[in-house]
Amino acid sequence: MLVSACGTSAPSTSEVKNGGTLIFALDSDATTLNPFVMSTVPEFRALSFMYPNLYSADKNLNVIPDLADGMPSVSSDGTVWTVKLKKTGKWSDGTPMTADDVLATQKLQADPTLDTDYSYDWSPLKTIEKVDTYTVRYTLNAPFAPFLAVNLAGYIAPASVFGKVDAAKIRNMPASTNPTVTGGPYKFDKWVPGQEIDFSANLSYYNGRPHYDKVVAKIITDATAAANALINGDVSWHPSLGEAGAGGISKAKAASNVVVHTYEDLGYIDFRMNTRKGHIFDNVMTRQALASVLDKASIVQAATQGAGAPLWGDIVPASWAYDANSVVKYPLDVAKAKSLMQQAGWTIGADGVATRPNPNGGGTQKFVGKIRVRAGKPDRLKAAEIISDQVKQIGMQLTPDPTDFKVFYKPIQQGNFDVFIAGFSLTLDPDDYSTASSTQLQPEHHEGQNWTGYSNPQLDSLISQERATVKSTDAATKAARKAIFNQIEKIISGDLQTYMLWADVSSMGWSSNVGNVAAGNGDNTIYYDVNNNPNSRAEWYSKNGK
Amino acid sequence: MTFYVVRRLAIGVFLLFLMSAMFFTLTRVTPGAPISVGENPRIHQSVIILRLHRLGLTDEKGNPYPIPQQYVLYMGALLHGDLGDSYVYNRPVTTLLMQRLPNSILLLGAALLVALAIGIPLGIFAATHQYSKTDMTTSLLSYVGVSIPSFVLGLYLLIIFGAFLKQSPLHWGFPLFGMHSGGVDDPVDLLYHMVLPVTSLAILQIAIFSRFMRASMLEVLHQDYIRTARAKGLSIEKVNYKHALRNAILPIITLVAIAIPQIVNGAIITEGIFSWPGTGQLAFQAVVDRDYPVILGVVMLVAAGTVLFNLIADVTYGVADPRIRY
Repeated sequence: MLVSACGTSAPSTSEVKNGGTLIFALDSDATTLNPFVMSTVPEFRALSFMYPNLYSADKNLNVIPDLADGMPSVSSDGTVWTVKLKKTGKWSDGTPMTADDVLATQKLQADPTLDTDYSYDWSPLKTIEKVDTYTVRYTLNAPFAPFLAVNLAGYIAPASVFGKVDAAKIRNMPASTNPTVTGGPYKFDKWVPGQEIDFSANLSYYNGRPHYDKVVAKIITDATAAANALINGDVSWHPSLGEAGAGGISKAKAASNVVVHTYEDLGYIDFRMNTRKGHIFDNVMTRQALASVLDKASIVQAATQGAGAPLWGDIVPASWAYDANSVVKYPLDVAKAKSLMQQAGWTIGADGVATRPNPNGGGTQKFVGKIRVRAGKPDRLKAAEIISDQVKQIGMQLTPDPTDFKVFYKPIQQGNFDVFIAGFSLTLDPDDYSTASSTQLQPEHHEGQNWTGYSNPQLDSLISQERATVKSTDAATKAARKAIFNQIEKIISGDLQTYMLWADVSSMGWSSNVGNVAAGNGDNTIYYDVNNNPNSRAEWYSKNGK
Repeated sequence: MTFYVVRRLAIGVFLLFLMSAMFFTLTRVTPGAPISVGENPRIHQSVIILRLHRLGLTDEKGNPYPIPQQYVLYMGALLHGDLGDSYVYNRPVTTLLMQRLPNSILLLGAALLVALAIGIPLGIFAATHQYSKTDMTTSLLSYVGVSIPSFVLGLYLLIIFGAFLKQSPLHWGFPLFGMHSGGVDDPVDLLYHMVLPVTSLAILQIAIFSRFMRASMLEVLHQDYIRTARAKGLSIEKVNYKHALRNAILPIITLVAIAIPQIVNGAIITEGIFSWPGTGQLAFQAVVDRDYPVILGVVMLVAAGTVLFNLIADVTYGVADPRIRY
């Protein structure tokens, strides 16, 4: 479900003026201001004011140059990517932004001993070279299509600060709390822990002077308080307005001084089953029975109160690769679900619970399991409760099992679970290698997030193909990959590698006094969030100059 | 008196030692670890070992220390004034506490002072005017005040000031969230930011103080010596404020002594609602993050405060009531 924007459209640029302070809400404090250590959304929100990106996202989530001077030139075999930098970039200490900074950033991100919770993956890269002061050449092991959106669309940090740092001790370096050398639209002023992070305009920013003089990231941990602060005019931007729930969003929409954008986000929630042999969901027909007995639309509406859009494949509507016609949908059909259970070898007993001959040897196996769900996530718990109720019709006895985040993943990584409901945040690239390829099975392999145990050579081959499809232009690459993604989505939704629940529906709110705020397709403003587009911070301005 | 204070301090130190052992063990046996590999599947084993070692959980090679050994290491550092480094913030716990503590003291101290300044006179007035309209009204309002938890009141204040009174002159421009950049350097701005959180915290305390003060004062006013004092011809004011109040105030001293360590502890939920950067917020986030050193730091601070202020309360009894001798 998409809800259109309310409020006024952005004024023409002729009205743009400089001055004023932008106060925005951060829903939790940063634990570090070191870009290499940052791993949470609020931290990346703070980062986006301070550090430049090599490439960014435009309002329709296409990758566009930021510090880079144009799109990368790619060799005909798709393995050599050459990026030119703008020559106008300067760090806040006056030194120019050069290829050395790009190399130092990559080197540190790729260091295996880097002490960070953020997962950097530079494994596709063979070599990185400085061609000249403003040109960098990346040579890949093989053609790798996500390279642009995953590896090149990210921050660049100054080599003078991070060039010689010990990766294992990076958390404790001075720049983690006091980043004095930055190059984004705003410069760091001060950080009062638990209270706020202050920035001031970087007047020599390479994309032009940012319009606000000051920016204050105010830490407001309570979702209701933050929504009220936006309505009250205490903050001018509330990037996580959706956390205030349907009530908070509608109150903000009703306020005449607030502009709200509600859109389908780059993230989803799914119902991930353990498909390994001997587990209750090891047969595709059992999973199809589950999909046929669930009334997805009502589950999503009841669980999310409108903050979720029903989803069938693992590519979300916000992505360029989404195609509503490429997925297999399972309409509600209880009779079909019962029949599929029978075909899968399950018989519903007198106690209403399905049983089958125990594939693990001897006796019978009852269809009894737990839905692992994170405690403190009421929407997911609600979904688990409704699912638990609806699947009783076909003899499935699944009990919701709310679990603290700190102990949530360990048994899942060990393959010791029945089902879990989890949320996944997505990048600008729709590549689902880490969650769907059998090379990413865990615990079978050390890395990866394919915890379901699902393995399908045809799917693996298609994923490898889409990753290796690189054309001379980004548009041509996308067109070629999209055809492959359509096939991937058919398999994932048809075989129910995972049962998708909903795409996150997010909301951001601005004071109507903030100018140059524009939403993309589907009212999407996600490109303003985290560090997708630092330049957009420079474009915002205060209409009344305050 | 000196012997009494020294003895109480010695018992206090022993209590702190017991509490540190208890809470240390609790944090270590709680399921879940501060480092969850689920957060970053590519995290290098050497990084995990480095972090665990820094936390005092393993040796340099990653071999885990038994809990008693971890405790000895922790206490060794604690005796040198080192509460360890926060795992999440990578800063000394003492630094974090010193950043947050003044904010909590400011907020909860102001709430306590406001509550005392209003609650005690209100209680005295209600007691000396028993069954008057003012007494009835005070009793009714104090029941309401006691019944509403401060966090519910906080949310009501947010909604009332954030939404309903937004365009009204009654709004008075109160901001809905914590301290502003100026901090203590801009006292007027700071006061504006304090109004709503202090109100939500103080109302419950006003209700409690006024009820206790009223009950205590009424009890004393019915004592024989008060009647004697009146019979001697002393004025009502002199009887009430010189003879009755001094005895009636004793239970309030205990209440205040209990309330003061809570200032150090912070108000977890109210600080959260109003985004006040105090120790309560710090403690809550530390529990969520399994940030052991910070959890223990806050617990030890509150425990030390409780021991100390209970001692101060006992000594104050002696000052307030000459009958008490140590």
